[in-house]
Amino acid sequence: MKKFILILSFLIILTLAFAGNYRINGMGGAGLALINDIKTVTYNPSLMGNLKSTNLRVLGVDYTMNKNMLDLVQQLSDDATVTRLINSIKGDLSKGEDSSDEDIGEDLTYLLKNYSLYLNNDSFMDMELNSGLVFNFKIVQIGIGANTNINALMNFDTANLAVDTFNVNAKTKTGVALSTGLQFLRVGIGIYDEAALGYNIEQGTSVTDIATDIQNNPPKLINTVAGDLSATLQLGAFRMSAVSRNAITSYSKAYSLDNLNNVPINQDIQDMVSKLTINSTNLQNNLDLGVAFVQKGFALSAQIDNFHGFLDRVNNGPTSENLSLVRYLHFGIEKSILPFLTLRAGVNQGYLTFGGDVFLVLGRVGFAYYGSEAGMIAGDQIRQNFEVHADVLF
Amino acid sequence: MKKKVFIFLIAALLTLMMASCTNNFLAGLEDKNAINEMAKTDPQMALDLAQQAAETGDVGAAVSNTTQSLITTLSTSTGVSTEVTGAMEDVNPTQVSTALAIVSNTESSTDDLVDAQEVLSNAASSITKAASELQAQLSSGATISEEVKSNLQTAAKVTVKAIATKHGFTMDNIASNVTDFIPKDVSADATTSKVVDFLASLINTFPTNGEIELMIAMQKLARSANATPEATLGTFNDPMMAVTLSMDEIVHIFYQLVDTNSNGYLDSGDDIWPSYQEFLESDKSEEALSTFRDEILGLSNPFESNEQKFEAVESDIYDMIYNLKIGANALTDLVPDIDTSDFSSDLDTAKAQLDDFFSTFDVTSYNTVGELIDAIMDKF
Repeated sequence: MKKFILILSFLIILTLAFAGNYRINGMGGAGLALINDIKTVTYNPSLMGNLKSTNLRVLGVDYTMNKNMLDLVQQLSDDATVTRLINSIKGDLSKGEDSSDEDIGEDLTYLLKNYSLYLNNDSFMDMELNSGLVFNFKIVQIGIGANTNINALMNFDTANLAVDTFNVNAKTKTGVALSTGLQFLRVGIGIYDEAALGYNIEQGTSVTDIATDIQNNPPKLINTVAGDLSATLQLGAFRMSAVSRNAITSYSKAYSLDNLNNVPINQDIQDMVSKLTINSTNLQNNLDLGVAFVQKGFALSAQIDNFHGFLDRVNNGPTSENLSLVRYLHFGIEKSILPFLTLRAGVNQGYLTFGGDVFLVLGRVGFAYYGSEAGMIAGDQIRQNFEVHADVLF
Repeated sequence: MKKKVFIFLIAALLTLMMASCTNNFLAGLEDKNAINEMAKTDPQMALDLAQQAAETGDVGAAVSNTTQSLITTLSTSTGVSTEVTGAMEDVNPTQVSTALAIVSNTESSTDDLVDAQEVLSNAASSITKAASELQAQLSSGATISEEVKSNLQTAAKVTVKAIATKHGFTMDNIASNVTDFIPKDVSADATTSKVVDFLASLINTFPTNGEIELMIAMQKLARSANATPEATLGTFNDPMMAVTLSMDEIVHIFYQLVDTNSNGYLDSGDDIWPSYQEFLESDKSEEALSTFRDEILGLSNPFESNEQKFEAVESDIYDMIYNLKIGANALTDLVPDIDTSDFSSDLDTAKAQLDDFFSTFDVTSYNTVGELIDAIMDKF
């Protein structure tokens, strides 16, 4: 019985924290001064002081699907060719045959020609996995965290059945964060190693030549060590946070994947860490500001991305490099409706967002819908996204 | 009961939220006047704005920004004569944008439509004049930068894309219609029925006459920047666009014949309308098709007695054939890659029919526009 209570207590502690990007996205992207989970390690270390004494997330998963993908799924489900293709592959598999006969080739060509445009001009896959551990010793907080983002984007030339752009990036950000201060003012620093695996296909490569292109032009691993500086002022229910991304920088190094075994990556990372310096340009230009009003079961928040650019746009009007005012702005609201149910809404770059989550015995599942601006100014071109999240706890 | 009301309220709230999702609540904060003013002096920015507008289906903004970009590009480029810039400056982007809004509004009056068509037609004439002047200037040894050439081509692409997409007059749709059109049943009635369906589906997607003229004028301007039109179409790197443009030429001729009230549409104000309606509602027999053709060719055709208009139509037909030849050659390059699909074999058949048409077609052997159109109609 004692063991059962201990495990239950541990699970409750684990699930006390909200989780993941879906909460921020459901609140219009205004999460800088609000976030209170493991993601603070890589997002805003100066908020780690608001966490419980021990926080662990083994694995959180966010999957984002844009509306183009939903339309594609709908169209494919109504297309008889898809059913025929699936049946054909099933038939071949059941007979133990190779699924490369002529009919399948024709069907795949048909699908490519008719549906690849749905994938164009947009990320068609965007997934994040995150995990971390934070110890809060009241005056000092220490956290380690890891985020892995997998993102794919393509542009397909339907007329020539060739790929114009195909870009896959898998990025893992691991790091340590330290924050210190008293309840009303905390400062944080996070140092991260970011390993990005990128593959860009050469423009005009025919679909039949992709495998050859990968051999001739192998994906590259780019490793970067950098750090963020952050500070949070907290007076009662009010909070104000400032985070300067990559305010501490070193240098990046690229490695060819086919030669990784012969490269001293660890030595290079140590070298990068030893050369970290304050980057005054990034300190000023990459400064995000957020405010929040947080009570039990209720929160209001607002955020301005790139405060320096925002001020420049306000003071000097639009320029070709700094056109839109609204793209900097994020607002959100959140309310617990029931002990196990929270709903949220917001305005992200002028577009409505909403979301929610439900507490389950072994974790929490959540969702968010959010629009973002894919055009030059607000109202030009909406990008609609649907995000689902699950915390997997043991 | 309470449960039903609750579910209804939740459903209504969700519907309202979803409907509001695509609206940008803060768009009013953007300084659009300042941005438009900037576009007047920054051609690249105007072109970027035009491309964005084309993506979102805002044809008025796409075309007005495109023309604004061209006016600025040509007037600030060294080596471009005052005849070219003068002709381009005759185009008023704001008037063009307003005219495009009128032709897009199904409730516009016939008078407004006629005026709008005139605005679009005049703009197209000015752009065509600029194209002729530019080509004449370049033929005499002048040169313009690659950046200007590139801007001219992008402007043509954006204009064609914006207008054609709005009406569903895209190569995908046309190809789909052609695929359906290829007769699998060779009986006369079945073939005639397909002809009727093909014509009806095409007519439903036609842009208005003024829009067609604008599309043609913009691609003429893009072509004029190169020594040969073919070279420019090659740099478009888009055979489907070449075929779309050739369809524009066909539609342009069609409007010159049937749009007798000059509002840009085939509608009840046109002489051909009763016969067209009868044609659509007929039993789709060969006899009905013949009657329709007789009705068209039996019109008191203004072109046969108007030498200038005849020359214009003849010139359009030459352009059309030239474009179709380039498009057909481009299709030949495409077909080997996709020769296992039904689609490609249909395109192959269509191309064979086009090749056959070109090989026997001699425009000089026809005495009247009616005879020319008759020959084209025979192929459809």
